[in-house]
Amino acid sequence: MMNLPEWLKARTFHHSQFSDIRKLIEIKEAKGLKISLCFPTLNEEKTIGKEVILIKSELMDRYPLLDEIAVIDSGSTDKTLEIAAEFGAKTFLASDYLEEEGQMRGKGENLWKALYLLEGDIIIYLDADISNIHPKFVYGILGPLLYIDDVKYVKAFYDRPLDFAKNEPKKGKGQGGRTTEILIRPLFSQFFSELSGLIQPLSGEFAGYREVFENIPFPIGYGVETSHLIDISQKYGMWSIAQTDLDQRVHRNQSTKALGKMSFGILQTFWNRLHRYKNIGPLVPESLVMRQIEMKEDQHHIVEFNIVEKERRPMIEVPAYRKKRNL
Amino acid sequence: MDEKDFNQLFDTYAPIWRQKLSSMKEMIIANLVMTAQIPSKTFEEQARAAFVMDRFIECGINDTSTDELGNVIGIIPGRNSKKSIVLSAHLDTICDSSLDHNVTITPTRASGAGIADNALGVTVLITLPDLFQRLGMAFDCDIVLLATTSSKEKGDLSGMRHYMKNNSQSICCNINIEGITLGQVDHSALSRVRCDIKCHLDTSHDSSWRSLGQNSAIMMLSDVLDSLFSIPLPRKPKTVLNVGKISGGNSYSRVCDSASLILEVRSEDDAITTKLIEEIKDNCHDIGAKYGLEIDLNFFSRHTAAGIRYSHPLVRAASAFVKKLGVKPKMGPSNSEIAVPLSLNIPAITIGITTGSEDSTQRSYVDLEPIQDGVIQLLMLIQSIDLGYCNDESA
Repeated sequence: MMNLPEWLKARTFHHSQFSDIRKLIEIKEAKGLKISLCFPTLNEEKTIGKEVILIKSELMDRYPLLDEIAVIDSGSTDKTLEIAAEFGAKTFLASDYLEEEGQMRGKGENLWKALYLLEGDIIIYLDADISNIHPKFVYGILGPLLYIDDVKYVKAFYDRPLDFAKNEPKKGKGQGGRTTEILIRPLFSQFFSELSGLIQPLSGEFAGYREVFENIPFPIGYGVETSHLIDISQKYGMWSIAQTDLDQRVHRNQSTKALGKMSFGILQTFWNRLHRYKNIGPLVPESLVMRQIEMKEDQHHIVEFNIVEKERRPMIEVPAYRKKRNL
Repeated sequence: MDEKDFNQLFDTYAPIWRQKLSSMKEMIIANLVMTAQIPSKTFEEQARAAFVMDRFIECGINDTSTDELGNVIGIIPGRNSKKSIVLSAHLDTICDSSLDHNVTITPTRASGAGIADNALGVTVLITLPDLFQRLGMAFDCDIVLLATTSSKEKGDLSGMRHYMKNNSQSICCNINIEGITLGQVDHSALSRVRCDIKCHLDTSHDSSWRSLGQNSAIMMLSDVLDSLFSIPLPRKPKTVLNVGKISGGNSYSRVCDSASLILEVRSEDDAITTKLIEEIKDNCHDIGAKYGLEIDLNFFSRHTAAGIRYSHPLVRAASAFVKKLGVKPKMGPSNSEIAVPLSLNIPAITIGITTGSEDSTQRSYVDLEPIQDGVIQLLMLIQSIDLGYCNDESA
């Protein structure tokens, strides 16, 4: 059993520790790495322009830290792709690629196809709805990957500023969102306790080495963040995972019902992992229909949602990918 | 130098710069986003100032410093640094830090709190070193990039005052950069004074019903307002008295014990401002006496009228360049920082960078497309001054 407090201390960082961008570039060049940034999108026209222009101008034009910035889209009906291209990002409609693998739609699908479409040895994923975008979102999660050889995957967390100058944590919440605290942390604590040191396991901002991402499956819906953490810790060990405090992130506030649907998807991914790693099950849900209650004209109504959490196989197994990368 | 010469100068440089500048649009927008997203209300400019300082240092300006008032000063040494050109923009905004300061970008517009006044001005200031480098511009004069604090409201331009009082440079002129007044060339400052008026009433022993309708601070203030609005103001020299805000009172049924207003007097003539100050004092004294109380009066932020003439080559140059951009120049007095250098006989103008709208909320915006023109106008002015074309030979 690993020492969780020790991991927490040694693998938890603050973005300010990596703000020397020139140093990051030095390490990147010494290691001969290429770095790609991917924004998975679906109707993000309000924020995508700003994200692309800021990151491109600061971390490609001013400092050559990134080699490419791409937007991979699930079929936006607004001007997301048009605006992203206008401000200089590479743009891809996910469904146009790897058609022979069959059509699926979801954020995880875009993340998975980024492995095929992008060139980087390190791939950074940022959600496209960050309204307080700043270069720290990139260098903060990139830092541990470049500085520490053992670290292969880094996750962002927020809202808990650490005072490194005084070496003591300031008063902060130190907690994730509702789904994390009510569902993920209890499950991790019971079955994958080493992962309970992750402050926000569901945050959508993370980065890792291609060699890690191409060897793990990608759930295409809600389960992608949870499955990544379990799969990477099982395959590469907890010391390959780190987390960085990015101070604050302006979040969209999701309704409790939306979080219910999210949990429904995550649970499917989770049962799957229990079977794979803990010899429990197979736990096959009797129904993949999520039922919620709504009031209409003073009557209670059942509303049904079919939520099937499909998974993409590890990219390394995809023939077109092997061919493209000469494997 | 006359308009024809400035036109010729424009035709020599502007087309080449325009071509090179097109690739710098992204850099300007990125700086704009980062600047505007740091709240910077008057007296709370530290975080934005720290960002400006970092940017100057990152751009390789070795002589970067702050002073006692938090102004950030970056100096690019000239080849023959006997004189310096001060380029300034104020760091502070009137937007409360509790407002959402996140910026929205569309292909044509950037919106966000304080973006037009004056995140864009500061953005241009911090982007200039990169622009100089990429355009291969070098100067004989020292270029002083000055981001000032405490400009707005009660700040009373004290950042600029402090700089002008304490700097050891020989300043040949000051160009002050504002966000959305493209086409405007301010070259004078009016005589100005601001005043806070407070009326207090001791109502602690009054039951509201007995005293209601007889005495209240609001009634006192109302008398003050009547007196202010009945002061005759001359049309020439043009003089304006503006009551900008009134406040006071607590609830429906309580007698108001405190009410206040803020006002500003602006005039083309200092003597009129002085006369108005005396008149306001006398009126308030009389009204206070009527109620048996004293009215608090606080006059501050007094500026004297100062300016350079329309015929000054700096104004001519600015006007010629604006015309070359296809914009009709608007000349006039300014309520901005240039009041300070002008009062010290340092030639100064305020220019704008683009068009847009400012209303102290997140709805404020700047148009992205004209920014390039605004920047070219500024670069042309810097170049002309450095070449000595804006010296007032008649002075």
